[in-house]
Amino acid sequence: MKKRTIVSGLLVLCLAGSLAWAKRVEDFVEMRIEQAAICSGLKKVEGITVPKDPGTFFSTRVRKLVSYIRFRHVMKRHTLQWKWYTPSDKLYVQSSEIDVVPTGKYHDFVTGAHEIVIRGETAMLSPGGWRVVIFRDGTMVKTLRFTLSSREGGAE
Amino acid sequence: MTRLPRQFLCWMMVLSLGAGPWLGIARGEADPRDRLEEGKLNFQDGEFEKALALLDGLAGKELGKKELDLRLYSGFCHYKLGNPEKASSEFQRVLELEPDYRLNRSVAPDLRKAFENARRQMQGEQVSEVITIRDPWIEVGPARKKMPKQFVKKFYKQWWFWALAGAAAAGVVLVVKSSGGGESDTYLAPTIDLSHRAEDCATLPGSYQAGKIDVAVAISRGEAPYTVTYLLDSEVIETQTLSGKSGSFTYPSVLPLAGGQCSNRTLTAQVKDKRDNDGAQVKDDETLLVCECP
Repeated sequence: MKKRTIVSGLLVLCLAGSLAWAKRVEDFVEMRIEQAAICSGLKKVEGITVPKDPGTFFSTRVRKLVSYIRFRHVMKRHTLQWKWYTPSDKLYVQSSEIDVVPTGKYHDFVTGAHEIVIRGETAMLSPGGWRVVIFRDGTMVKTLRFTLSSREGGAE
Repeated sequence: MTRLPRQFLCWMMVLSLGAGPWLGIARGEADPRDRLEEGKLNFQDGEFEKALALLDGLAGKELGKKELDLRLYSGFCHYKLGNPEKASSEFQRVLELEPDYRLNRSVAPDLRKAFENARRQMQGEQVSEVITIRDPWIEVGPARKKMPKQFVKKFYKQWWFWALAGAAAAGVVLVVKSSGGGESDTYLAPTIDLSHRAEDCATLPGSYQAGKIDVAVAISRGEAPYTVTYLLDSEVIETQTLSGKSGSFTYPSVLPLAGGQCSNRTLTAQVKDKRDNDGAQVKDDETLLVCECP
């Protein structure tokens, strides 16, 4: 009788402990991408940085291009990295890895961006379909594609 | 004809035959300037490929100031044939020859725009072999201790909740099954079984010699300590307290037994356990024939 009571009590304690632990660790919505874009620059709207003239078609005369990404619900420490690939699928440039939220607290959003110079550099001479791959903690999370063209019509 | 004019004509013939190939007249070659004009006419007629072929053939020829026209129309042809890079290159050569050269308004707007773009590329926009690597940029939203409630997942929507609930349910079922099919109270009252050992009696089989009797009680279930009371008829002859383990065991005793004429006496053993101290007692009776043997 006594033995059964002890076993039942332990079972209930284990269950309660597991529930409490699991709740503490996992009951949050996951970090997700809210917006990602290629743009010619960034601007502030109501205190928040947003992409300026986002698009997929740009002129080779554009001064620079920015790869913009915005995450929601950031809880843990992460790293972000960008890799830019030319139309011939060669790695053109890769950013350093940057730490996101080293404090480990909850943040509504985290915005990241990386830019490359187009006008006056080698990229200007490589019109065609480019892609930017964004990595989070070493894992690819987003691929953005855009076209660089020497013809008129792209964003200046 | 006099002798002098005849000699003059002969020399002229000789000279023309010798110098002809040098001047290109004998091979029928047109003046480069004429070919340039022909190319310009072809361009104006929309025959861009033909025009370009003619103009390309003039590359390296001495054209003087017309070199500028050659480059300009070559650029126009390339642009119209969908080669803006080559067009830009030709326009930039025009600008090298005459940096302030401007196209007049009679030229098509798209050609003027392409020409001006070439000028912009040329002015301080040299393509560098160096690739600028810039550091990434991060903007972090305000920090909070906890995620706002609307973003917190309900616990019952989590996989672990159902896994743990299943495990708990399985555990409860196992415990209930092992405790005896669903009884809520698993306590069972004690039972007693009394036995005695017959003494050899000369006269009456099954009788007992007065003095003492060996008995044994077998107790099972209940909770220790047990109290066993022995009664002869209704008189208590001994009380024993058996502490120790709960469960089934047999406890032997030697009881005093008064003698007399042969008579039936009833030996009763009663047991009560820890719980039954104030409750019903379990009894077990044995009928003995007790004699004073000779």
